[in-house]
Amino acid sequence: MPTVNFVVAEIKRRLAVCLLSKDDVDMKLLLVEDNRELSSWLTRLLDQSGYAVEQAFTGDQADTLLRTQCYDAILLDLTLPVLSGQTLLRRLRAQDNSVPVLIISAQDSLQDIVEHLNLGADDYLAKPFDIQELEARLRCLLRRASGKANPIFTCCELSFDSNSKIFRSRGRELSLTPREHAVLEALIRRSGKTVSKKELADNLVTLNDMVTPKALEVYIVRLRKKLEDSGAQIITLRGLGYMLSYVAEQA
Amino acid sequence: MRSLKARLALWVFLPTALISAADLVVTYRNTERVATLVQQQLLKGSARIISEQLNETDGAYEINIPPAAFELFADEHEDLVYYAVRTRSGQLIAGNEDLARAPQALRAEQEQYFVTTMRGEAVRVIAYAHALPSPGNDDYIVTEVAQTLRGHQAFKRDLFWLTMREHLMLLALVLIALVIALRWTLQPLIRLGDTLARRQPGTLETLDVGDMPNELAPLVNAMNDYVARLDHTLTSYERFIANTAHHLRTSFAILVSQLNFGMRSPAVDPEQKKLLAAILKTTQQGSKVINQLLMLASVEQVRQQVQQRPTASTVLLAELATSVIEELAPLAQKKSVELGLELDEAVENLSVHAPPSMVRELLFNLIDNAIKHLDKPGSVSISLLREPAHAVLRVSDTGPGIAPEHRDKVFERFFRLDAAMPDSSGLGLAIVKEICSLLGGSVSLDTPPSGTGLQVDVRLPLPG
Repeated sequence: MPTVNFVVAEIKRRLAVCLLSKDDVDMKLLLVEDNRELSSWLTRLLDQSGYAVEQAFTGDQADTLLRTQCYDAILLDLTLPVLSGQTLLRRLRAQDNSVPVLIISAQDSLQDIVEHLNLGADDYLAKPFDIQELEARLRCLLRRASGKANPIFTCCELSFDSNSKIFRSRGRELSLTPREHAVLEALIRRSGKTVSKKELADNLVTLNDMVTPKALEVYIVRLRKKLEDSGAQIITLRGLGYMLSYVAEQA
Repeated sequence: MRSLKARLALWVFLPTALISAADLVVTYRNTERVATLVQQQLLKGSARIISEQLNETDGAYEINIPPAAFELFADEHEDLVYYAVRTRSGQLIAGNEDLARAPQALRAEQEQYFVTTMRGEAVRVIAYAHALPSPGNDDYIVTEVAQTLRGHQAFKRDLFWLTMREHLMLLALVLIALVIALRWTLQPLIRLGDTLARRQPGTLETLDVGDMPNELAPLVNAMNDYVARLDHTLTSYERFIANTAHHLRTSFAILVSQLNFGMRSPAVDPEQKKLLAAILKTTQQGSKVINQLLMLASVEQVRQQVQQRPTASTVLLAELATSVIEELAPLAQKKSVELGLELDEAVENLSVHAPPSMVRELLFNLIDNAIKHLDKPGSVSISLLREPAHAVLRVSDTGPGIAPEHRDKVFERFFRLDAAMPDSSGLGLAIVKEICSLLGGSVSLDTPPSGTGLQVDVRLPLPG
């Protein structure tokens, strides 16, 4: 939903680094949404995906729940009766509760979004949204919350563990030559952003190689083949360089 | 005449000048009378002095003309003076025979003035009948004194110029006073005009009535009232849009959740899932249109912020363009469209004063539009150029282009060139145009030098 593009860009980047795996199930979520119909459908959908969802329909209901319960993440609507989403969020952060909060709102003026992200929301999703996107964001949040010390870089089904230096595509280890490895590592560390050819070449020089642009292209072509199933792709941007990104579903 | 000041000045100055001119005419006539009276007095004095010097002895007359009789006339104009003393019957006793005689009969101790010619020059003459002192005798002699009109003319002229000078000075004073008075009285009006001219177009600020003169207060009050009502209307319009948007989005969100659920449900067979996917796609397009309409509506809100603080934010164009390209790269890749950015050192740091979100939206729509309208694999190039007063964002593609006759229309809301393109809402370029106008820039469409495709140039004013 490209409504507010500058936020969307950030969001897509975050989305792009999320692994579409199901290892975050059995997570406990609090859904704060005043529209009961939407709340019930979202609950059914998230239930289906294995999340344990508790519903709150007003801000103070959520507030009460949050005093006694622990959640892995909160899905928070902003326009709530009794206690607004903003107040709830502010109260939460004032209590040093760092539970990840994903705002889902139908009111998305630019100022609002910036304000809420400043207020301590972790991410923002404008209504209406696709469940896949919601789940991807959620996974992203949960992963970030749990794995801050665990530097794993991901792009769709491709992941890179910076400790073991192992690339995985759909969970299977990728076999890469050292040069391919160096190129892909530079790309995945900044996935969703362009890396110039010069930077890539500089990365390879440390391997005692003289890298011609031609050679770099060859590595890229080979890498593209190896990434075919990963949902990630290397895009050439003329004048800018290469970029690791997700494969668009439809044009 | 458009200026109130000039009009007022004209209508005060013109009558003053007319009155002054009329007065000058009257004065001119008066100077003639005054000068004549003065000359007559001199002539009379002279005639009396001469007359009194007459002695009669046994019917013989003897006269001794004293110099004082002519000293009266001494001045710088070198007037010629003539005299003639005659008996009642007209016999010359002394003086100049050529001097004309009084046209009418005289009685004793009576004088008569007339103008005649003496040796080719006009003279004013007094003919004075001086009664002879001998008692019982009503006999008299006629003393005539004539003076040329040189002094008289000069006196007249001097008198006239003196008055003329006074009038001119008076007019000058009136003019100066008028300018000062006009400037002073019209100052509130001029100040109001300046204030209005300085205001940003579309501003909804009210004006301070404070020290406005009584005549202006109703105008300013009416204007403020109008602005207040407009503000109120716009605010309720914005609130209406926000409420509508909220409801529509929530409804769409439920719809999307339901469709998502249906598509995941094992009870739904693949054919039905296809249908659900189609509904989902339509729903997404619908929500995209809603978002674009809201974007258009929010441009107006941002306009006010930009007007209040035009230099509040700065956008580095190269950085922004890179980020938009990165965002759209997967879509372009899907359509086999090669995206590229052309930069050189001259434009690397090119920046404009604008809200980043607006420039981003503008560029996003341009590039998104270019990608979507490519009917076959091709390329979309973004370049930055620097013109003396503008930064140029150029997006050119290798697509089918837009015929010149359609180029104005594509900026209209909901205009779609290719009705077969279901993804296009027809709002993208309308948004581009709105944002351009918001930022004080312009947008133009062209055919690229290669001869095919479309080249869109957006010009944004450079700071300073």
